[in-house]
Amino acid sequence: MDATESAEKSTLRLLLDDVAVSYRVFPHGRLVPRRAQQVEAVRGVSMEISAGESVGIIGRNGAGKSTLLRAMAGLLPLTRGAVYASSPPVLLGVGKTLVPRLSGRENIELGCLALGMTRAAVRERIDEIIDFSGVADHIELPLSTYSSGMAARLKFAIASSVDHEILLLDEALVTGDLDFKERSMDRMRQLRDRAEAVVLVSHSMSAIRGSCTRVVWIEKGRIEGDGKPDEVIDAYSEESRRRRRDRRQGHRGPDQGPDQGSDP
Amino acid sequence: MMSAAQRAHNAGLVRIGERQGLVTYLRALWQRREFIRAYARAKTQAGYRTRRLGPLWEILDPLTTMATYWVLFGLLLGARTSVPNYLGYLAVGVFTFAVIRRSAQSGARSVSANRGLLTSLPIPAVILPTAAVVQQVRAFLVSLPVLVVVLLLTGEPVTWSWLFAPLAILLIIPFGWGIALLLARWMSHTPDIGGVLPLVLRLWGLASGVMFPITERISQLDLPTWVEYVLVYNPGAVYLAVMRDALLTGYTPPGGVANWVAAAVWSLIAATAGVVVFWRGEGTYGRD
Repeated sequence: MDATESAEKSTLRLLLDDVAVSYRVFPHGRLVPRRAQQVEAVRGVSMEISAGESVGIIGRNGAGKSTLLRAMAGLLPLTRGAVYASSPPVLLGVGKTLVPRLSGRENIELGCLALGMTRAAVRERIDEIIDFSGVADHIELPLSTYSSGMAARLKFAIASSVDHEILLLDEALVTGDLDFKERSMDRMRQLRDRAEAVVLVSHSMSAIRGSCTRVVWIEKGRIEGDGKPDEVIDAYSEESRRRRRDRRQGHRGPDQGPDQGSDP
Repeated sequence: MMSAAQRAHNAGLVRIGERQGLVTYLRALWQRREFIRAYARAKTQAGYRTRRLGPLWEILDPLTTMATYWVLFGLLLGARTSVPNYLGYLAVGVFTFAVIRRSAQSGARSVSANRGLLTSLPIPAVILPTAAVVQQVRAFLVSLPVLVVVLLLTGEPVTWSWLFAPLAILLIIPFGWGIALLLARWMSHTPDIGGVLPLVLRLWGLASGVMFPITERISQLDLPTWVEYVLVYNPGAVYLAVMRDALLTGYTPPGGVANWVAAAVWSLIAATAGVVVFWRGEGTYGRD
């Protein structure tokens, strides 16, 4: 093994090779649908992420950011390409909650077991996790009775209770009151410091500027820009301004600019 | 220019979401046994919470089914005279077939109904049908005392052959697991199966002799012998036969000792086919 190879071995953490993801949809309105349709959410994304990098992913709603993040975590089957990683990436995301019919406590137990904790470790740490989640009053109730904010907090508390080498974050999960927001931002910074490589999806440009060393802009499932945070964010903002202007002049149909809301 | 795969390999990276070897896959399943147990227990508890009578339904469900069948087949169709202890015959049939039927049904749903879990936790999909079967076996074990009480009340003596009942159950579990895995994969890309499955399973129960000894009726119809073979050696009939062989004194199922051999063979076939088929579909379960 020569010098370049061993150098590479020490830094490369995540490699995406032409990743594509599509969803299968059955068209409605027909008694017997002819065939399922493919909806492409991610259309060929390649990138490399090294140790110590903190990569922010930006883009409009529906651009494929969350899908890309889930594909990185191996939670979605790819229609093309491959994801390589130095250790299994862990995704802290909103998405669907765990098991709606089970109580908050049961969901914490299951989540921690799935993340590789032993039963004993779960027993030992569950009170701390419940405490951090801030939903202690509802912990014996089924998850289906939780508000979406409460469910997101519970999920964040579960997922952030374990250290990860490659961490994928969906920032929309940092919801809730000011107190929880601060605590979870703290927790996220801690995790980021301990993790080797971080990928963060966010609509908050200030959060991205404040925490990322690199920014990737996704547009219609493809990489539109990749580079220093300031450059990419400026280009993205310019594009959004242009879009808004066009819309005002009625050149284009309904379109969305960057917003502070969460991804669907 | 090195290919991406080559570069990844040189950097010591492994492919994410790639299907592992079968042995590694099964080992991963075994390593998640704590999760499976916790999941099955939590699901059971959740099911109880949605009903006022809670765990009592574990007993009420087979008892009401038995009562219905007793009236329909025993009384109206006169099947109660076809075997010496019809109520005992019916009880063993209903309780035993429930394990197969419920494993198949909840196993089939397990993947398609829990996509949220699959896309938010790093677990291999095989955990879900497996946990569904564990849950049904737990339910069966909870209701087992009721079966024993029914048998004793209908005058069945406790004999040494009862010791074969646990063996029969141990043969049924891998069969139920295999069926659950096969149906789970099938239903994950053809959800429509959910619509016909309950009916198919009830008919299978009827054809296997849950309600009355169907082969005796069929033999009067002068059908080709292969039909009789299918009826006697289909897995449903075989598992009912070994349980009845163990637990009932006045009834000897057709097929005799061959049933035990067939029961073992079906278990092996179903479990092997289920594991291999489900494993080959791994990587497609999150999508739709």
